[in-house]
Amino acid sequence: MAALLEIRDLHLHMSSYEGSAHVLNGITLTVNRGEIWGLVGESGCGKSLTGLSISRLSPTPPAHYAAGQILLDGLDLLGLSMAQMQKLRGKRIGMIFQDPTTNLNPAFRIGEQLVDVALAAARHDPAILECPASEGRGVRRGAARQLAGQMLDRVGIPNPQARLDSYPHEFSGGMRQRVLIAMALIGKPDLLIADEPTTALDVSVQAQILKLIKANVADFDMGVLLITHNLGVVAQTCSHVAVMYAGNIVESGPVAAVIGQPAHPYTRALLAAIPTRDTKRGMLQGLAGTVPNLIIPPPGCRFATRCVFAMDACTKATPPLQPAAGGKLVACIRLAEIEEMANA
Amino acid sequence: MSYAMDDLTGPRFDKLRRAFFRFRQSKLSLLGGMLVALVLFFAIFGTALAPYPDHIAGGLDTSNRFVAPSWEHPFGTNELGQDVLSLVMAGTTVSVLAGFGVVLIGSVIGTIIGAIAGFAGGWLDEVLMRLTDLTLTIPGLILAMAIAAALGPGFGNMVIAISLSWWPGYARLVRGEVLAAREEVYVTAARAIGASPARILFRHILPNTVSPIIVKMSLDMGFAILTVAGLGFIGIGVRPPTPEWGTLLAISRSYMPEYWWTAMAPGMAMFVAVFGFNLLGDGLRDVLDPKARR
Amino acid sequence: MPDMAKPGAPMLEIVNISKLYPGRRGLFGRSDDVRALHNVSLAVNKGESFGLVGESGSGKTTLTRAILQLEKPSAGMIRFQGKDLSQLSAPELRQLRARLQIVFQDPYASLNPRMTVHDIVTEPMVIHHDSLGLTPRLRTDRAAELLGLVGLGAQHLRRYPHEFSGGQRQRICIARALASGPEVLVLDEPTSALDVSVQAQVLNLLCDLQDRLGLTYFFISHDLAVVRYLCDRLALIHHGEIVEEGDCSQIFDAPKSDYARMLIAAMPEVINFPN
Repeated sequence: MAALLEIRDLHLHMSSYEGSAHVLNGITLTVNRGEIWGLVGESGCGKSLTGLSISRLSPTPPAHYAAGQILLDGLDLLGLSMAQMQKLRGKRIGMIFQDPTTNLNPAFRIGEQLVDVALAAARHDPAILECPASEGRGVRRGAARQLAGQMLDRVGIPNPQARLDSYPHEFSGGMRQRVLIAMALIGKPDLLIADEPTTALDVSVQAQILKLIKANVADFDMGVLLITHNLGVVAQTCSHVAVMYAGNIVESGPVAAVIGQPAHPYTRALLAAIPTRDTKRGMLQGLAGTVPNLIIPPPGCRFATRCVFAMDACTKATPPLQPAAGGKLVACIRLAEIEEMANA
Repeated sequence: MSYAMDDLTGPRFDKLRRAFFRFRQSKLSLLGGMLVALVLFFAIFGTALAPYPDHIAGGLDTSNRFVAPSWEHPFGTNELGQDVLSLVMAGTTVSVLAGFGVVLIGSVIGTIIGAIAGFAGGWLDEVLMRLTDLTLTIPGLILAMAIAAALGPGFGNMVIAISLSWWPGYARLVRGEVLAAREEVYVTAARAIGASPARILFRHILPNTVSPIIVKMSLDMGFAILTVAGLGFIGIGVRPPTPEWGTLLAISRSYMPEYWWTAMAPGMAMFVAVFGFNLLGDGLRDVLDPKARR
Repeated sequence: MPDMAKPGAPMLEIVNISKLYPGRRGLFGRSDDVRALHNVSLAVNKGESFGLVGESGSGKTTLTRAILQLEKPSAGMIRFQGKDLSQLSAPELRQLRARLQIVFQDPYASLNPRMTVHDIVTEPMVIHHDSLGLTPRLRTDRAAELLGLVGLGAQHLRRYPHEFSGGQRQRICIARALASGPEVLVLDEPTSALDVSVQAQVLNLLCDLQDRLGLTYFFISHDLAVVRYLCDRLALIHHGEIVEEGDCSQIFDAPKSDYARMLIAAMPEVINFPN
């Protein structure tokens, strides 16, 4: 079966008054239906931009796609016009953003907002409403409202039909995020992109929201791209993970393989920086140095300036993603030696 | 040590250079800057460079009354035979200086009142703001006229009169900025260190409110010059022979439209000055916009 | 140097603190009173790291403000080295602030953008001149020393905050907090706004400073993993009340309250997958 989402060697430049920054340096990623991919990295690595690029929400004057393709079920998204992209958004690509407070219109009841999204999606696929397109507006609205109530129930909001008439401010943060998930799923998308969906929420609510996302994947036969800086979230929720650094994917593959046996020096460093039950006081490993300047990126591997295993050869060319043990792809030319040194 | 020394991030773009770069991006701002530079040049050197300095002092040349624009008199002569160009050049000093005076005094008074109101809060805030509101209920020009008439003619009195109607705008602006700055984390941090209220106001809050004040001052310059001219037009303020754009326009009104050049030069000068300061103010506001900062 | 407390003695005591925000009277009747804190009691001993864990709305921010005397509690008492804070005169309170300092959460907002790093770090020394008695020259030297202590350098003294990254700004905040020679540091989510690798550096710095300078930490956070790493004892606060308190290892191994169990279970752990 063809992959749901395929990003091939995507290069993105962002121009600012300081120059043009090479923010995405050859992103290659494949997401299949039923998979939850975590896209993880620290601030400035380009993970949010990758998510925005898929739905083309990044405005193209400052952004410029120099090379690469984004294929959704084989359809080249970068080649589509804005009008065509608009048809896909909400219908085939659902998005959830970080802050549930600012992403809901405070002036409208949530029922109206959900109905709007449902009707827009139904314009391109009447089957969503389970109501023929020939029916009058009133009937279609009714069907959309029914669907909205069902979605609210699905995301776990008690008293869904009654809550359709509530305003966003009458919900707590976690509830609002559930409403946003309902909105993202109401069009029955094939791909769900969630950009830091739980960062603004309390830990207890976070776990529930992640469980909710996971539960819906099978029902909708979706692929999910979960963008986050929190490796713990990835470990709990995702089936696969791609680790990003300074515009590159440095390691990707099944979550158990990447987190259980990290191969790339950055992945190792990242995991060593997270305090766990067994970390003794003073044993936490920080990472020296800072993220490179993407306007004048360093030659070759962008992590070389901070990598303890760096050699001269590392600065010659950007290391390609090579297959490694456990079904992973790792972008490091010293992979085998590092493995030996780590096991020694 | 498991933590390490970091290098500084990014290319070291000086904040000022970046701001100037943004300023240069806008053609209109540059135009404004150039016009203001031109006006300021004449404000400083106008009197010295005027081709007919004796006319500025009040000298007459009745044989050359109402000469049309020509090589000797690029903007013609007026009813007293004085060179209009010289008068306008010299008038730049008076008008611009008066404008500066008004904006400076108005902003100082307004900043003090607004800062106290915003920082102290409570009944002091209420009293000061009601005083501000009262001053705002009286139309600015009328208030200035009343005070100027009471104080008598003269440059200084005119500036004071207009300033007293000018400060409320600054008071409101500064009060709003101070109220916002009071909630900033670095102010809470200063309180936690043990800083006294005076220190917090002068060292932490006020320096961070300077940008909007400067923008407002620049935008106000144009209107201040217009107000000064307005008072001169009505006959309050400076009196001839001191050249001032407003008085020049007032006198030329009677000789329109035959001797149109007597009005054109002071009118154009005023236009250039006001337009230039407005553009500059807009440009400064874009550059100093706090959203673009950081 | 002000009189130091004996090791193990309680440095900071929070005794039955309550804070009630009265309801607002609107057009449609009176809204309910908000009970931000209710009978909160804690004691932080000299030399230890005490963690306070709570989610948003739990009251930890209110408690922090009460400790710093930025707000008066409705009931209860806060004692610092045995002295009741509400009974102190203004000059005495100011002197006390030299010994009790705070590091805030947001490194981008807690530094005055118009002040140089030098002025930021020397400001506490200027304010507490009467107890420290440093000349301007000595102040600059000490500022350079403090920057070195937190992993920055003397060349950074003349720079402005916007020229630094988040992690570096937080170090500047720590240097500022140490400038007056405090014994207790209140750390209000100091690493929540930082990336994981930067957080690790700052946490290591805090451990190092505590060992070197004998500091006492009151560490407030919502991140259980960080608290587990850094703290000796901890307390959980929920809806303004202390739900559980005790030794860190004890609470994590055998939580007594449902809330603690729920929080620990919800922690997103990077579980070590078996080979």
